[in-house]
Amino acid sequence: MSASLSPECLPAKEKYDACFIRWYTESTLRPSLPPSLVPLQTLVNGGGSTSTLLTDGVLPEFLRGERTEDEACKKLFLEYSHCLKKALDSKGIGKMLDDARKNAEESDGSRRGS
Amino acid sequence: MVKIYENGFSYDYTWHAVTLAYFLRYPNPYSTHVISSDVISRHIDDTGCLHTVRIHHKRGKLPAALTRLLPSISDSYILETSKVNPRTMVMETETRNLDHTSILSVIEQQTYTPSEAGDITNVRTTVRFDSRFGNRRSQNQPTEAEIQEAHQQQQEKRGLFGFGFGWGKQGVQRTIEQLGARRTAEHVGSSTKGMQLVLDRLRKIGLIGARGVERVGDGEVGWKAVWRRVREEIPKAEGIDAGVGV
Repeated sequence: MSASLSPECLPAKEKYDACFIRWYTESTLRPSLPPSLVPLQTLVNGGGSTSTLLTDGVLPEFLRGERTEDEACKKLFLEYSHCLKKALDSKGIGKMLDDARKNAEESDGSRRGS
Repeated sequence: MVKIYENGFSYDYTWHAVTLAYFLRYPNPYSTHVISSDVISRHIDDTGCLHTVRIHHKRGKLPAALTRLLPSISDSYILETSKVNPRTMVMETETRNLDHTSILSVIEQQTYTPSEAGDITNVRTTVRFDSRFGNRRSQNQPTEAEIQEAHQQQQEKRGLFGFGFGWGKQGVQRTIEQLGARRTAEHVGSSTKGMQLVLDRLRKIGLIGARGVERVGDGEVGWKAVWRRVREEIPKAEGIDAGVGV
């Protein structure tokens, strides 16, 4: 994976990236059913309830409600972003991000509206 | 003033594979100017869409006519936002430069959708250039006279006389936008090559296959071996011509 803005954040970034890519890989394994039948709510609810429409065998882990990797990623992300925030602030990027947000609001009929 | 560039392209890979490659596209031999990439935020919204904000640090890729005048612009920060909707199978991405926006704003938007049969992925790219140069003053920017000089040199170099003298703010803005637009065909070309290469290597590694993203061997060991290969093999410049410096 790519380097970090701040070399000291690289170990934390690499752990997080590996975790996310694993989660994304497993969550995008091609389901055997049309996407419209995939129970997306499980993504949102943290896997509390899983649709009974589908049998476990055809679903990627995270759609079956196994959120262990995702939870692990969250912890890794917090460590990484805590480190990164210091780097962003010291390089004045925080301010640039605020300006970008303002510019986007004032000039963009953004298609995503967010 | 705004100038638009549009382009359509297809990858010979499934949508799931292409969206994975999007997150893994740096570093690759076609984008050696990308120094770093960091995730600023990431969340799944109420409709199940994955939102990611990343910041990329790039070495200066401004047109020579501008970099000659603006030695301070040796690098820039790019903000990338993406939204993956796994239900409708649409990925929307946007990149914009965070700094130097008073000279030129470049906003690239892409939409990734699967073909009807699902075996290929179509990408629509729109790039908008907006120079507001001279509309407002900000610190550390060149004076209008300096930019006009660059503009003049550029025109002279190309032998494009006949517009008269006294270019004015709009002429200067137009020149900046044209310089940006000229770079864009090049940029879109090399970023497409980069994605293509990342996809080919992911397939070689076995993370993606004909049906999309593949299940990686069982357990931690299998995953770690695959991940190590992803990290080692995607950036390799072997067998790539003219990779460095693009």
